[in-house]
Amino acid sequence: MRDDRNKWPSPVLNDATRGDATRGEPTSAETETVSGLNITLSRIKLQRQVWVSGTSALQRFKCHSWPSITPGFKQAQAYSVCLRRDRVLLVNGTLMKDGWDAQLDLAITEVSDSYYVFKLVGENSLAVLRRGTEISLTTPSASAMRKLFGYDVVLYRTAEIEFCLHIDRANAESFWAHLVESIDNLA
Amino acid sequence: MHMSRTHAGVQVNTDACFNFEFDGKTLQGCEGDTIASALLANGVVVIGRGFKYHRPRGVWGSWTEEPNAIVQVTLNKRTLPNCLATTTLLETGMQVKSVNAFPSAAFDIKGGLNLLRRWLGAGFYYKTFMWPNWHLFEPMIRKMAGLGAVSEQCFDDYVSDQLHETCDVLVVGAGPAGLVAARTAAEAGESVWLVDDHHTLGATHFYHEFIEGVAARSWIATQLTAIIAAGATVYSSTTAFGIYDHQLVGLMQLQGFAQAPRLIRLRASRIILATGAIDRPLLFRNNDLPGIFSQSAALDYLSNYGVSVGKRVGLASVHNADQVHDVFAKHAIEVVALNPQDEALSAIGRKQIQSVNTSTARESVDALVVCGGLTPTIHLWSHQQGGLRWQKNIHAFVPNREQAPAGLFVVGAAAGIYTLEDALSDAVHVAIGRASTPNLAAVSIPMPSAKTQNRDSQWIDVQHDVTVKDVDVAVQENYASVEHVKRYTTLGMAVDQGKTSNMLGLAALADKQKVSIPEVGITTFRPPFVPVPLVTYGGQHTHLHSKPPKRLVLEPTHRALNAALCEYGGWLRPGWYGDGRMDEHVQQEVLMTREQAGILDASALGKIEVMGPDARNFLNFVYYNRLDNLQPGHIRYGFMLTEGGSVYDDGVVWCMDEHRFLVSCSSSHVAGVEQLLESWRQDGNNPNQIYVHNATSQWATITVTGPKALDIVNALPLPIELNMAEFKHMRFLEATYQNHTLRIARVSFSGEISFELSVPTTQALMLWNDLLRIGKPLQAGPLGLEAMSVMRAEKGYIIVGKDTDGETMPHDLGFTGPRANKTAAFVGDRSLHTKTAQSSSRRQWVGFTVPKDQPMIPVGAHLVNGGDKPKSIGVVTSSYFSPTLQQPIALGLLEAGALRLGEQVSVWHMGQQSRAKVVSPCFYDVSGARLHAG
Amino acid sequence: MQQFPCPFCGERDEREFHFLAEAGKERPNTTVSIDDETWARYLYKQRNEKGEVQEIWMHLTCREVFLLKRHSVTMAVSESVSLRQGC
Ligand SMILES: [Zn+2]
Repeated sequence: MRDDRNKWPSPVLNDATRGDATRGEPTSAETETVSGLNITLSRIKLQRQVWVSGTSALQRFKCHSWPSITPGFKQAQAYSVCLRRDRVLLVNGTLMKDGWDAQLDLAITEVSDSYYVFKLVGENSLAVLRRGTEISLTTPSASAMRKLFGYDVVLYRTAEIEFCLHIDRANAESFWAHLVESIDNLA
Repeated sequence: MHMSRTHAGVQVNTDACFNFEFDGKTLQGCEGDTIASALLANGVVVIGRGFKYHRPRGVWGSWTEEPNAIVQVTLNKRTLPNCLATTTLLETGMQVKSVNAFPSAAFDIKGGLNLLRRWLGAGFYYKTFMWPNWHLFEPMIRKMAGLGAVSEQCFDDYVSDQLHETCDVLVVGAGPAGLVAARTAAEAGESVWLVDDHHTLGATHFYHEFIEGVAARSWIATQLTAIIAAGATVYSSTTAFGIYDHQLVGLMQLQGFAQAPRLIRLRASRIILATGAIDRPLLFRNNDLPGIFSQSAALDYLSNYGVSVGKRVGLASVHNADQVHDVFAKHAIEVVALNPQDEALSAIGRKQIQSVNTSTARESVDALVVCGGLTPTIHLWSHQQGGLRWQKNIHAFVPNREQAPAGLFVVGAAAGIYTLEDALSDAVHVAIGRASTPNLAAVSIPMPSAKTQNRDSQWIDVQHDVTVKDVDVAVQENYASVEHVKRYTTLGMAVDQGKTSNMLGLAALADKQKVSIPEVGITTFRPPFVPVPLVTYGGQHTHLHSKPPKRLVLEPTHRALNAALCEYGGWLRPGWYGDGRMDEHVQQEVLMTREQAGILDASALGKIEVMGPDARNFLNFVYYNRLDNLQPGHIRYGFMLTEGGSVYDDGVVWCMDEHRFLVSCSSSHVAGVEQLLESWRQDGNNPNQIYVHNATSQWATITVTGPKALDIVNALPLPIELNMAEFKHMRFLEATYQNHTLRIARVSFSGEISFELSVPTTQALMLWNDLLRIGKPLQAGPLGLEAMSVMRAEKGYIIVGKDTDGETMPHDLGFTGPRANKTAAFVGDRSLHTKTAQSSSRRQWVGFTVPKDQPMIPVGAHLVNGGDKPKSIGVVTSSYFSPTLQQPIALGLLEAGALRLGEQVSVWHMGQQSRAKVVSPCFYDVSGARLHAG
Repeated sequence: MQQFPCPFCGERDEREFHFLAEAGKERPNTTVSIDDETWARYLYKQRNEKGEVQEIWMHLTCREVFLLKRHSVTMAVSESVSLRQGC
């Protein structure tokens, strides 16, 4: 095998340890931040993320889709985002037991460590998103899942010109670079 | 040479002049000039040489239709070949070089080829260089025929920005019809985009002095102001180069010389093409001489750049000749009127035109302006298979509005409307979506045919040096279809893609075949309309973005431990630890693991949870192996097959409880397996009873493997103590580690006792550090994937995709049970019983050995049967030097291999043959005593 | 670049979709004996029609599997129905 340790630079985003709320560590401290023309990209940490799947999942949780504004985000309260016909992403919710809940007919998996979460704020946020896919505020969608720069992301709106992105942590490094490059291309 | 401008053109600022170079000579140009306009202003007429015969070539057009003026340009140490002189904006200090010419355009030592052209006719390349082998001739041809030298520079910053946009109406082209259409639509409240490929908007119009009673330039300015005021988005230097499915338009936005253009993918509900028309050349003897210009180009250079193409100019035009005459006269240019249909018309001159012959006289001229008709620019229309119709009075194919592609409209000259008044009123109607039937019969334009004499010096495609004679020859040789003639003669295949030559070629073909042009038909236009750099399509997905690997949470830790990071199945993972020679580290890591223990980052392993009341039956269906009897706490190894019966993936399945299973597939197949599960779930099963959660990234997995593995794991701060007698091979349990869930699975890929320890990803570092700290005094340390790969080969375990191919079935690998005994349906089941699947000569999984002192068998080597013509009967898929056995070992697939154990086979590699012994694929711990120790 | 309507998400561009199969292929019951011909028809035979076609696609982001009716020449899309909405 070829040794590519020098081909791929060390990751910019790096956290081997997430702040643990149970030990009184900060959980939503902003770490990495990049600013550009009327835009700020930052990495944020959320307290908890859980997938809940089932035929009743969408009704059970007041579920946000595109482009509705997710109010819970600002107050760091619990909110949920619609991913699929039968799956929601619960953010900052109560602790739930992983597995099949036979009472509620729900499949539950904690994914707090699966995602990196980024926030885009500013007038040019949509211009950055439009570099990654066809997207507009006038085309609603029941699901917050999209391909952006070819990557699967959860994308939703948290304020008028503020967006939140969840990306599988294994792809976060290159996805972050796409966002930074797009910010550089703003003009 | 000195600057000669008749007046300041609107596009050029004659107060801002600067130096540039052409073939080493210093010249002056002005702000707003293209390279072509500046060269003409300096009196440079010969700009290049023809592709095949190296005849001198000058500028013909003034924009993208230019077939000749390809130059190579260097600016600020950046060199680009293949720049079109007519569209490239001139900048201070540009060094412009002619191409196809050595040492310079004016003096070309290959010009002698011109004398050979009797022998270089249609199909010349095909006929001559076929024998004995094209490759013998290729280097010479390539050297002679290249369009400039490829720069060895690599522009790392040459990366295109890409944007996705939408609008109601896109108008392509900012001529009068386009301006009116854009204004009307914008003022009707639609979101409008207006784009034009020129550097200055509205500069394409130079035929009329007045439009709607107003001076043309102020009319254009008024329209643009109104369009912008109505909220439209307006871009110059922006080419609509293609229309793709569902009204997606590719827009290329230039960013300056040697800068990657921006790509805008614009989705428009309606697309209005106002792309104008292109002048056709006229066929007569020596019509390729430098100094012969298209009528529109001559007017463009005059009105926009203040450059006159000559002082005494011949004019042979079938369209608007009087008007052009007046314009030239106004600028004190002497005009010699010529009859374009004159059978005796011919040009005379060596490097450039000096005079013209007609049937009555010989006129000396310094330029010749011609127009052989107009061809509506219908490329974009044709990209979406818009219907065409032959309009007889103007001798042109025009868009047929009754066969319009969805959302596509065309106005102005592109629609064949050649009177301004009709074009403007039609554009208004189209812009607001109203039906309009413009009058196309108002103008008549004849189409002069090629002269009967001197057919080998009447040029149709001046860049590819295709003459009327070449078309004649093609027809004589029975090339009937227009598409075949195009390819045989290379007509219309030059960089301009036939913008000028296409119709002339069709006419010559029709003429020779004695049929009408519509009967000949038309070749297909495909995107892009102009050359688009490939990086523009790729956008950011280049360099390190082209296929980035997935990254491990522990990557910084591995780097700190001096790991070599390699790509394995889309992940960047430690191959081995340490600098220098890989082999030594790998051998050492194998021995460490076999004797003590190795600690491996296995986080990339798939962790897909399958839950719900039907989960068990569902997995029993998608897996080859039985899973209906898997007990909670147990793990089973199994294959996933394709419906064709071949092995798609291998992995282990955990039963966590009756309604919850964990699919631990191989790390490179996670996305594929998840997709497969999801498609079977929704197609043929009850999706409300099965849920698939891919939690691969939620869990980091660290494998501890080797005789000391138990001691290491038991030294972790855990509430339990593992006991091998109870915690058997292929079992798992959950424990708590530092307040977090820890999953411990006893599975093995090395052949030693192994524990896969999984924690939530953010806890991985803590676990890794604990394990390394505990392992150190026991001489256990980090283990890379290369050593693991050697150990699994010693044990005879496969890697799907490396040791298997698209034909490998589970019974080829020795897994025959389910095929024989499983009663429930499973994916691929029936395919395991076809004639092919039952064949006795299937390639089966075996091992190979060679004597200790012989070299390793190369991976990819073929196993062959004897005889004069050896035939492949198998292939070597894995090969290593086994540090455990101290000898080379190999694995592979061999026809009826299971029956050949103990036999010698021939190994063929790169023409060399050697011998190897066929053995069982398991070289190590055959009884499994180490694995099952307890 | 085409746009397909995911029955759940709505219109998205083709980069988010994956073709699975031509519609109308029912998996034979493999627990009973099936002749080679029946299995081969299910596994390999493609209609590959010119004109109106019915296909099964997956929306990769939301994983919806659905029936797509479209025209293989004009690329016009006429309908999309979730597989679980009964089709
Ligand atoms: Zn969808």
